[in-house]
Amino acid sequence: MYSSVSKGIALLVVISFIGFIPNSTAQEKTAITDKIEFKVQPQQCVTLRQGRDCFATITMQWQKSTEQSLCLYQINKKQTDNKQQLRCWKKSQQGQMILEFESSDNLIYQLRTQQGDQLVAETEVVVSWLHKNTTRRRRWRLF
Amino acid sequence: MLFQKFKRFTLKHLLSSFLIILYFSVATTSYAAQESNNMPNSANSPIVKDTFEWQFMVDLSLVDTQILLTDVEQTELWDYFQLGLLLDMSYKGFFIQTNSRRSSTALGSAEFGYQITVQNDWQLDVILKAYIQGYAPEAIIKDQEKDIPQLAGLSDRNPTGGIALRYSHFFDDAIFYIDVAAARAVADEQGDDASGMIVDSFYSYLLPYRNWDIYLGAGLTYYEQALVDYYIGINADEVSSARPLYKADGGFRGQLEVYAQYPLSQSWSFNAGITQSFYFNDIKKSPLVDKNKLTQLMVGVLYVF
Repeated sequence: MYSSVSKGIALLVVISFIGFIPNSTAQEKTAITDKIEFKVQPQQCVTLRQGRDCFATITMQWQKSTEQSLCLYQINKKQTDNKQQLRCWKKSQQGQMILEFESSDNLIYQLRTQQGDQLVAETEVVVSWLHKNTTRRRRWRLF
Repeated sequence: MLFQKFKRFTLKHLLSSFLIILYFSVATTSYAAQESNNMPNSANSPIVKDTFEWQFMVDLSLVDTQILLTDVEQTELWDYFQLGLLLDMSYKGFFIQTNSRRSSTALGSAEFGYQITVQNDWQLDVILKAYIQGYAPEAIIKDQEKDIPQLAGLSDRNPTGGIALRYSHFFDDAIFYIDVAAARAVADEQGDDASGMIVDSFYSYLLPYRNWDIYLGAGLTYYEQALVDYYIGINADEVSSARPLYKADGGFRGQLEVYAQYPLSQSWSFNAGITQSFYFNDIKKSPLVDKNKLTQLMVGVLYVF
């Protein structure tokens, strides 16, 4: 039913897809600042269309060689003066938090000292999209 | 026969008049829309027509499909794979768009059009597209690995293209459109062709769930008698022991659809959908047709450049 050219292209698409998957899913960011390891996984949240809220379950982990009281903050990159405290750990060497990410913008996560509000580590979850937000409104059916 | 000819003539006349009246009634609106492109939008002012935009996509799908023709099934492994090269492009109201949900080879499902007017919640386009796919009986028999006497020796049926006025209405999470098309099947080697009216409507409701887009759709399409007869009618030259003379009536097709899309990365998405089509009962009276309900399933991936 299909020409050999079509079959060739189809194979190429399959191969490139299989080759691409590990790159897109293995997203993990590690920030090491002043002997602290701060990991966020996944680092990227992909939505179908630009401007739409993106949803993901994010795991955050930090580990430090010495005990310290730290707080985790979430900051919208477009409103940097508005930081939201998510959780604090008292005199800990490590901490973990699983949170439900929901945003149409990139969000920054910061670990700050409970006393003095000093920045200890920072990482970011990037929101990206498949389709650009255009004026065109789709109306397609399947068959 | 005379009544049918009269009915066809009247319908064509009505359609032509409708298209002309609609064209002139919106022509001034269209001009106004272009003039006010730089004006700020108010509740009643037209919104900006598409500027230059383009998007190219490659789609690979696994498709389990049925077709109306008697005893015709998917046979080879490759019948289940469909590759689509999809292009969307627009400039100053002119556009070409391909169906990004549906797999199809090359640009077979493309629509060429012009936005006559674009308002906040409705739009009127004139479009040119292929409405009905043709079929080649000899090629089908070769592919089926079995004899289908109903199709043996039958002339090819060419695709039907049409020019249509499309009215679209936009809701918050839904879209409704209706095409009123003057359609014509391309003449075959014997010079046989057919023309008639197609009225095609579809309603699609978007149900977002986390990163998924789930679309629930319903459609109703009317095909005029001459077009239905061209595809599933048997004329005197085609009569055989397995294929009596048959003249088909016009009729309707209803469709229900569920389609879902999920982003895998910035370039790839996963797509899946099911469509159930219901054709009018009389269609089974044709010797070429053995079913009037079709279930079609699709699972695939889409790469966006």
